[in-house]
Amino acid sequence: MIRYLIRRLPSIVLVLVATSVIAFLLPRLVPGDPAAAVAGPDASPQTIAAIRTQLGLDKPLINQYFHWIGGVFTGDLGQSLQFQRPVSELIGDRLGSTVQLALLAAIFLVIFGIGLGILAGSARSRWARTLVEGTNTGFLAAPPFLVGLLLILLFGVAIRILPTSGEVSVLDNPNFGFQYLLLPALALALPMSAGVARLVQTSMQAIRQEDFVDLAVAKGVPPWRINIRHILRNSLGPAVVAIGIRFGDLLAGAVVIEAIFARNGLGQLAVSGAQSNDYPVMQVLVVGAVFIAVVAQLLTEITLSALDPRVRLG
Amino acid sequence: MTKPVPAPPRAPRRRPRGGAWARYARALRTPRGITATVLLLVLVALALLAPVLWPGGYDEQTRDALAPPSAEHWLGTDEFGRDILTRTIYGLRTDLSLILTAVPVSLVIGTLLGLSGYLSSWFGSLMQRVLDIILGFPGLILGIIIVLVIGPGWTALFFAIVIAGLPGFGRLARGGLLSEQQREYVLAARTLGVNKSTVMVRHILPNVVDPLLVQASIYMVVAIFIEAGLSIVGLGINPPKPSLGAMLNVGARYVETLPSYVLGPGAVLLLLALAFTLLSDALNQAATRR
Amino acid sequence: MGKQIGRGRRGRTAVHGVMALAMASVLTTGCELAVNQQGGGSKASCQPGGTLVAAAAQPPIPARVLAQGAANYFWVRAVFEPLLTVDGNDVTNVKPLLASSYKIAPDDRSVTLQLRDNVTFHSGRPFTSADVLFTIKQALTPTSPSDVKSILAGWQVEATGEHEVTIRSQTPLSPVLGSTLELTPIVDSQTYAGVANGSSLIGTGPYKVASYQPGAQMVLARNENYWQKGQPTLDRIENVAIPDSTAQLSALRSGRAQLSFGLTTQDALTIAQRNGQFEVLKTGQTVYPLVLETRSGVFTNKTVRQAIGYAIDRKRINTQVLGNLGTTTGLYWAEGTEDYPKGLENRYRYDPGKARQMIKDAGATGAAVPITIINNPVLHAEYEIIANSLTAVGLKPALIALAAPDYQQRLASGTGGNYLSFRGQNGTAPFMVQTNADLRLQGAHRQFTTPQYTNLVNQVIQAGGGAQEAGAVKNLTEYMLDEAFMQVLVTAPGVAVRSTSLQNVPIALGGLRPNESCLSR
Repeated sequence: MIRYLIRRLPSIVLVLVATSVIAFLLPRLVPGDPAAAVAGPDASPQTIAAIRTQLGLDKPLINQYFHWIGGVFTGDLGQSLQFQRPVSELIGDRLGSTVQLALLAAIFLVIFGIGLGILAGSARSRWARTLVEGTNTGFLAAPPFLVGLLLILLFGVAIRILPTSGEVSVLDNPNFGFQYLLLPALALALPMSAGVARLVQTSMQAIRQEDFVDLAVAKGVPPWRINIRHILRNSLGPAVVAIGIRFGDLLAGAVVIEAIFARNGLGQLAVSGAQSNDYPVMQVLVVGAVFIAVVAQLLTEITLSALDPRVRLG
Repeated sequence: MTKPVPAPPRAPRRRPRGGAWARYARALRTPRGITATVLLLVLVALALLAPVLWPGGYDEQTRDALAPPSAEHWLGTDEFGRDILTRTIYGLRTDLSLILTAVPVSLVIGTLLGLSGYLSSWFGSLMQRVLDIILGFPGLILGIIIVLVIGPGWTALFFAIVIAGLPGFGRLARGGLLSEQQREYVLAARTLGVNKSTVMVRHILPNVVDPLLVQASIYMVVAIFIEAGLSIVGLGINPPKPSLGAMLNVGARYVETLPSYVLGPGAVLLLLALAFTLLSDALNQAATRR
Repeated sequence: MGKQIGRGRRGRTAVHGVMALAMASVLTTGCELAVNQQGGGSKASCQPGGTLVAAAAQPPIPARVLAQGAANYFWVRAVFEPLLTVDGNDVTNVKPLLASSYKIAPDDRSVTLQLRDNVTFHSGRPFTSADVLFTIKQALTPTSPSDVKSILAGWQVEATGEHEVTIRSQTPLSPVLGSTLELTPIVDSQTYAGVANGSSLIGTGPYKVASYQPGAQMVLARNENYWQKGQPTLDRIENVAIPDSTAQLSALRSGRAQLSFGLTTQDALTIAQRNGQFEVLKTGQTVYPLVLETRSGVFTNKTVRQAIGYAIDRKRINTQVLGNLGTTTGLYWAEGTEDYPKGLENRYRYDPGKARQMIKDAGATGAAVPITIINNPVLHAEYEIIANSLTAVGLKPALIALAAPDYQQRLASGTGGNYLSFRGQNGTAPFMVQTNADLRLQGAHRQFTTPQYTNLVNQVIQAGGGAQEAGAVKNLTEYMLDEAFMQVLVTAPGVAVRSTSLQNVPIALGGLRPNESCLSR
């Protein structure tokens, strides 16, 4: 496995370099002048031009790019145009919140996704399967913000048992922190778990028709053991891929959930950055997000190979 | 304690006759297939016939805003006095026009990108890296950038949906490829001299297609949410044209005073999700594995 | 094989057992509920102390201390104070604040202000006339965001004593003095460099900045050495940014926030009506104009421009978008001012038939009307009604929805086309024609410009009060209504939502003045 990682290193570097160029150029393709956003709604063109110079936006693009890249190696990720603060500070303030939410949501995603999938894939009676599939389809058709809204109405307004606005870091106060995380993580994980569950269920149903399953049944292996040890293990492949894909979503922008629950996370920073053409913020967030996705993909492939010996790494 | 008696072995499976298309056609005759097809046909018919059934269009504004359901307005009126039912069906029309074009395109391109690794390993790796980049891009940001660059409207949403779906399909295709390409039947075919692209299309592809169909059915609904998410920041379909996602956004604010605003589009969305789910199930059950 | 079965079954039971135990422990160890930490007040008597949580839709922008803006609404007048203060809901109500008194010369071209001598900045340094000069100089730099630059540029300001300032101007002072000074709060010359990025925000106000998290929140703590004894009442103010309206409603209903700004008028009215714990707070008048592109396209023709005035259903915009709180009289000026031309109200009444005919006669039926807006829910909603109205009279409207950097750039460079905007009604007509971006002569966002317009605007600026000013404003207004290069659709108050447990929340032009605000607990 170490050899596999070392073999992948050059392509990872290539991806990061390509991403840095894309992350630099793509936001600048969006029409509009960030200096105009900074100058405010009543500004005159002279003010906008002066602010543009002050922000260093009229230097040639190549200079700006290498200035940024050079800064990255010394720990200076750039300065936000909207807030005039180091990007590293803005991200640092929000990283904890997003990571905590993503981790708890990922745990829920695995539990509910695979759990529901197993239930649906191994349910013997038709009504059980229909019930589970109905719930699943319900989740599938529910937009994340609607799920969040319903959770707020249920547990924040109707029965006032969980907080629905703001956050407390789990590191500061584990009890409160967890309570603040619960509803957002559920709202994030439940709709996504429907997709994962479907993949698990479909795989299980397909695998169930394989010869080795017939053999196990003939041998007299108990049904639940067939489900878990034989069928599930072989059908987890697509589910693992799906979870790997979703994890990128979780981390890089649970934007809508963060917005509804008034959590101060990276997603909000990314959206406000995109809407005000805050190039330095966007550049760093995009490269960071891609890096995390690449790592997640590596982990996925390693997990796949552990589950399925037919898959050779690389 | 006696061990439970295992269920008697199932009757031996008969290998159905006919090629792939015949198999899929047969699939549609199963109970699931029939339900799904009927549901989809009804929804598509409603969408296509909307201008005939509701000739007034979706922008008949009146002074009677946010009225509760009545005989004249089955789902009530929205904040500008327009009939919610009419707008729901026209919204379905808009969304179907988007997803029935963009999702298949995304599926095809994504699958080709994912399977390309079989033909040429360096091109396949390159494509995987491209997919990595697209996938890593924060979703809503990618959507916002695409829409802002192209200019808000149907075309921008089409591209946003196609591009955002590529990594999902590509990864699944590649995952399937990795599993299948070491299998005996593939090695056998290659030994017999069948060239790589034929092997890829004729042998590997059908076995990889199950999770892709599932992902496609999921993505149909996710695509609607992508449009909804972009509508929240004002970059969705241009008003006054309705879309299910945008209606859900606005309706969510009135969920306690006028729940029919959310229930209308929500129910249609549920039926759509159901239809696609049943359809992909039916098609999957049909595909033989060997 | 028996051993394997046993291990498997035990394994599964073990997993279930752990999960159950975990859930039980969480639910039963008497863990404190976070919801109980969040307060909810009632209308009982006001207590000193306490923390006010104010939710704003935009995060604070320290760089814009010298400008007016929604983002700074809840904190900037708590930290920084101007010489004169103007009531946000009544621009004729001007009171001295950091100035103890002021005297305008009979010729209305100069004013002497006496400054209070007991004021210190949060750093401890005493406030003197030098700080006034410094502040005005900062407001005039090319990168300054000040809305009143053009007026300040025409002033000569002199420190005629340690606590006395004299201002001289070529144009009449009394119509513009209050608003101009209110929108130029006094900053600390020693630490102003740290204001733009929020690292040091030192003012003279009743609250100091305790902490600032860029893009997220600002926490203010009571200034123990505030120059007005007995103020402020509250201990802390937490200004948190909550952009999503669902989340703002959540924050209010859960008791986390007692004040919120940024909800649409409809949402604010809904929560106030359904919940006796909340009331709507008016935050000053806002004008919603539609400004037309007059250099090219269908609106080069004056008849077609006037037809628009008859075509749009303003009353419906007022009712369905702005909560029926506004007026549709169609004039840009503030109603309470003495130069308000009442006779010119309602020049254009809703008459789609007449509009259709006018457009047909001008040969403009079927013409494309692209309208540019910034992505703001109120403007989106306004557009839907306007589009409906224009389609009904035979035109073809299309929406161009832009994000801030694009919208602001196009408007400032004069390429905005037909656009919808919203502007604060911050003063008298002479004040507005010098500062408002749709009306002013230099650096305006509108494209319409004629020598006659310039002439009439200059007359308003030079008029200087009384009958002469009223006459000049009347002439300008008649010209504007006749040329119809913009249509003022609705003038409506901005709204904030406050919990009834929060008392004494006066609004100045620059924002909330929480000096005497208090909470009942």
